[in-house]
Amino acid sequence: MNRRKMIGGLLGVLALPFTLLFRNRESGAAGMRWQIHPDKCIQCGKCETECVLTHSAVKCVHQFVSCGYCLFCSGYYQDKRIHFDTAGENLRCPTDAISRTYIEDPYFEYRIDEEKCIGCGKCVKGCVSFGNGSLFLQVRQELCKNCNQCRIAMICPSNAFTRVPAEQPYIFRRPPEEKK
Amino acid sequence: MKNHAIRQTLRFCQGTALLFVLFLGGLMGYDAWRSQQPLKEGLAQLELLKTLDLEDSRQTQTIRDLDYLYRSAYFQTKDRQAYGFLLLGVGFLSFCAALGTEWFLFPPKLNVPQTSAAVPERERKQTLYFSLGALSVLILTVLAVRMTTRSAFEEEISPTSAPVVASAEPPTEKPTEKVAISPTSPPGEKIDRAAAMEEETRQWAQFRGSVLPNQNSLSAAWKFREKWRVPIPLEGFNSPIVWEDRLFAAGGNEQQRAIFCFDAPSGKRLWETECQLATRYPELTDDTGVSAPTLCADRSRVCAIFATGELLCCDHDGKILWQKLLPFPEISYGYASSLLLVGEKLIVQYDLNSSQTLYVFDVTTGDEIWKAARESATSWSTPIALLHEGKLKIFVTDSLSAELFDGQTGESLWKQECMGGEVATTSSASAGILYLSNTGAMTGAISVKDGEILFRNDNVPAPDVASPVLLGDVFLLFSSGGSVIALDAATGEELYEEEFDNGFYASPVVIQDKLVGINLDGELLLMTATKEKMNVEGRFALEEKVVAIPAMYRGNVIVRTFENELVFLETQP
Amino acid sequence: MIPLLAQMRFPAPEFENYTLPEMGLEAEVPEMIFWRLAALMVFLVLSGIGFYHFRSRRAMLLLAAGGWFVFGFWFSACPCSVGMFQNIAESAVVGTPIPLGVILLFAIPLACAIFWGRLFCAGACPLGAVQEWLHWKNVPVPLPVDRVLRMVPVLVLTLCTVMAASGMGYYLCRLDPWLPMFFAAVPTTVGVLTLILLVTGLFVSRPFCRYLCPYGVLLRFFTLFSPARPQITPQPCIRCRLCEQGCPNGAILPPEPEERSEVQKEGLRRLSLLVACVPFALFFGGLLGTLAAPAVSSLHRDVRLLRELRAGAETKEVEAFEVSGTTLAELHARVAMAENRVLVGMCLGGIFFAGCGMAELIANARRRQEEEVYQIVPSLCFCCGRCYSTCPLNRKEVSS
Repeated sequence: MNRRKMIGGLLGVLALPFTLLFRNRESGAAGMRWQIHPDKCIQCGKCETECVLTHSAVKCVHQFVSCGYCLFCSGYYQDKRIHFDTAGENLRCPTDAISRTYIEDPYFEYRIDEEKCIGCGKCVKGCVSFGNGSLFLQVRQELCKNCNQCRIAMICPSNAFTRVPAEQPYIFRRPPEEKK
Repeated sequence: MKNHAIRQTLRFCQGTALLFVLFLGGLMGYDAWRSQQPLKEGLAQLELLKTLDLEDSRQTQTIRDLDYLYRSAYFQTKDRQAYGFLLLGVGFLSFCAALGTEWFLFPPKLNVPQTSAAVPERERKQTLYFSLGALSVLILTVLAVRMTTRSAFEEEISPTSAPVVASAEPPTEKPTEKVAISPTSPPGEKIDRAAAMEEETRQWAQFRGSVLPNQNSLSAAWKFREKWRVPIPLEGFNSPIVWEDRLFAAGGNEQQRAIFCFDAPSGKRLWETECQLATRYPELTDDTGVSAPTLCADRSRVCAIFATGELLCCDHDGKILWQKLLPFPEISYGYASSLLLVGEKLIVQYDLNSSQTLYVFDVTTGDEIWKAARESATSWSTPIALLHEGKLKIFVTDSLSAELFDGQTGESLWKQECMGGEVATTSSASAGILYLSNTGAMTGAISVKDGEILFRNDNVPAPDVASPVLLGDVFLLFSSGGSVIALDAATGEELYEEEFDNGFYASPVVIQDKLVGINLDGELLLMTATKEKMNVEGRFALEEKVVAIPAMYRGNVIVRTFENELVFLETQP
Repeated sequence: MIPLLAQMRFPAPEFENYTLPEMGLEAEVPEMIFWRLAALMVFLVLSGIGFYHFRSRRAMLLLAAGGWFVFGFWFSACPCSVGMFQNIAESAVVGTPIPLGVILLFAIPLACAIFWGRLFCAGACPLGAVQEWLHWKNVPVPLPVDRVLRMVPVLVLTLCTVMAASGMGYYLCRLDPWLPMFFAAVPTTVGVLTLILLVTGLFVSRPFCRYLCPYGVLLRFFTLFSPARPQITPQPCIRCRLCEQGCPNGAILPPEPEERSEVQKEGLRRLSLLVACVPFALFFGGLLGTLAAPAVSSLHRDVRLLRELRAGAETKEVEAFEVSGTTLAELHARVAMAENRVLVGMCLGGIFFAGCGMAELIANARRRQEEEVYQIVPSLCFCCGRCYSTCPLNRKEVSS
């Protein structure tokens, strides 16, 4: 039958995309997620405004392994600060999302309050300019809607967004297993 | 009957839901439009304030308040938007549900079939025509797009893509010619000082027109007709300035300070740019106000300073290029020294009660080139710039001393403690000699070279508001009482005295080889003076109080009246 | 790549009595795509039953609502089958890794279309469901206009495929007009499109599906050969025209009476002329595509960057380029490759578009088979079931 052959042909056409699975091997069976490559990010501030969510899914994360626990954290304090206290004029974060606690002399721990973090990347800029780069922006996967085309990725000036396999959805500046 | 009731209810639901969605959508749209800008500006202002003086406890309090305000406003706005969207979604879903339920419950009525059958043949032909139409639209679009874009590599080869060089020639002086928008150059450009100063002489770019002798054309018959008159929205005593066709003036009060730009030929207000850095408002007297300093402009920029310490620089379209907040000015009456612009150097004489500083900023970036702490006395005077031995020098006078600075380095070359009283007038310079006169200080001449006083004549009444002016070999003092005294520029001897009906507040200015002044009655005078006598060649009575220097514009005159209006006086043949 | 920043300026401190806190990031995120695929198949089967077995408009409306809820809100709206062709194109040309789920999401509705028509549009597409429920008063689109507008989705499909394949991102998703509905966010450009579609959708049935949806083009193509022929009514047609007038999607065509012989002759001439035009049209399409290529490639990020670098603009992109350590030569190579891809893509795309256009014109010029009854055209039918309820023979009150 002519029609039967036709349908067979069409199904064959549909089977073609599956060859991609073999060609592009690294693809997992599960999905891919969007993520920021921290080394490429230039903290332009677009993550805060471009995400489709009202509160952006991009937040600052803190990799404690590489933190210097500085007394004068340049991610916490703004450039011209004169006192090292918690007064608004000295701080960098526009939403007061970083908390600073005393550990032992002369070390302080800095933590990000996810509720307040808006992903503007100002602290990250401070940290990479003068510090260890332990603060960086990441797409929080539990918040991310995983749009087929991430709006931030499309306009990211440094092209820092990549798709990563869902099994390893975060890119750390320093491998997480590496201690000291 | 029951069906009918259900149907009515559904219809009602549809209407209500639709109205709700439209209303809420409109509200949210308005809210988004309204709240976005303040948030952005709030953050920008916060960042700016954080870079300023953090020692000042009032300032830090402002930052803290603003910081808190910004934070709560940010989250409130976002939460409001999220909540609004939820409601909007619910409204929209209910609307769709009500619509769909009607279809679901009541299948469409069986209509009486229309008998006229379609004509397939005609439809086929129409389809062909429409396709042709759509095709031509597509082709035209593609061609249009093709004409406007090029491949990145084509561009490289193409000679037309070379950056357009802004014409550096001075504008030709044809009174009727309309120059659209003066070419603006990007910030950070290199300014050729000599060319800029030369160009400025054909404009009316700052206090008393220009640094070099002004070359504007003058009305031959000295007859004028009022062409237009517009109010300036905010008060100020600064004198208007003109660059090409753009007329600038500033004004302010406690709430806002702004530069206004007008189209000189028509008087249409083009833009206004506000400055909102100041967190405190100084004590001012009514006859000084917050906007007494005159603005300055070059071919790309216009700068203004206010008695709040705010220094603002915009391009000619009103876009802020940079702005600064100088230390809070505590000075009796209010800060009033005008800006001085020489090439790329913006010179601010910042003499306060407690400190006296001479700032020089790079006008392209707003960066400080140098500053000199002068340790002298307060003043309301404007500095002057002069070229001496091929070098730029800046001369300042205050209520204690007269001082000369090297324009390049900021080094003080000499200081002469010869002044006194309350110095508000500005000096004149010619051939290596500085001429100055202020009531309570001195009237005389100082050598640029070493600061030696060449002559001094304290027997004549010296002016207190209007700056004295040098015309040829005559040094003229215009008093606020109405008398004009001529001194010999070589010896300081009094030559003669003229009396006018009313006094002078606006400084007279030299244009070409004549003197233009306006007295308090608004009588616009064209004068010449020799050692023998003074000639009033033209008089035009505006019959309004004027305290600002009129601006020259292609033979016409633009006056800012005491009632805060700009009046364009068109020259008559 | 050179790292942007010198790391570890300060050594990690040696604490006496302190353990490093956890970063608080879950190592893995649950992957929903296979649940989504299962749901998709369930909904396709349910739609098939509702459409072919129960022949009920109400069932189809309910399924649409269900699909809207499940695929729009239960699972997040992304990824959906409509945009997946871009992923496939990008993966095929650029080599981006592609998961199995994505391919299945793309292929299942198409495979279903080969056998049973566009059931996906009726029951499993949240975008279609919105429009199905929103449709208020029908304003019929004249057939000639409808036929011309049907080409717009082909254009969208071509452009989006070329853009995705040359690594420019998925413009269909970027400009998705349904984004505000499912993500509660309104980017301004998109918001305007959404508003237009919603208002149009009140009067014109499924404006997005008919005149914009690129996936619909694929579904149409695969449905062309479907053996399933839905019947409006099992009873002998009385040719009342009610179903034709009742179908808002223009998917029901009337039987065509036999024409006079001169008209037939003219039709035949037109048909042969069109067929003769095909090679020229293909050539012309390729030419048009090539002409449009620079405009398309100027949207590419590398091309834009190169332009900004040349113009000396001070954008964030330029800043990022300067710190990235990429050399200008590398950028040049990337731009050349992008432009090349777009050029080839647009040329092929132009040919494809011209081919589709000519096919549409020829199909239009051909006489329909002389049948006695009103026929559903499966490739245009969204399986909404309206015709079942408008046919008087299906009504109980009439048939009894």
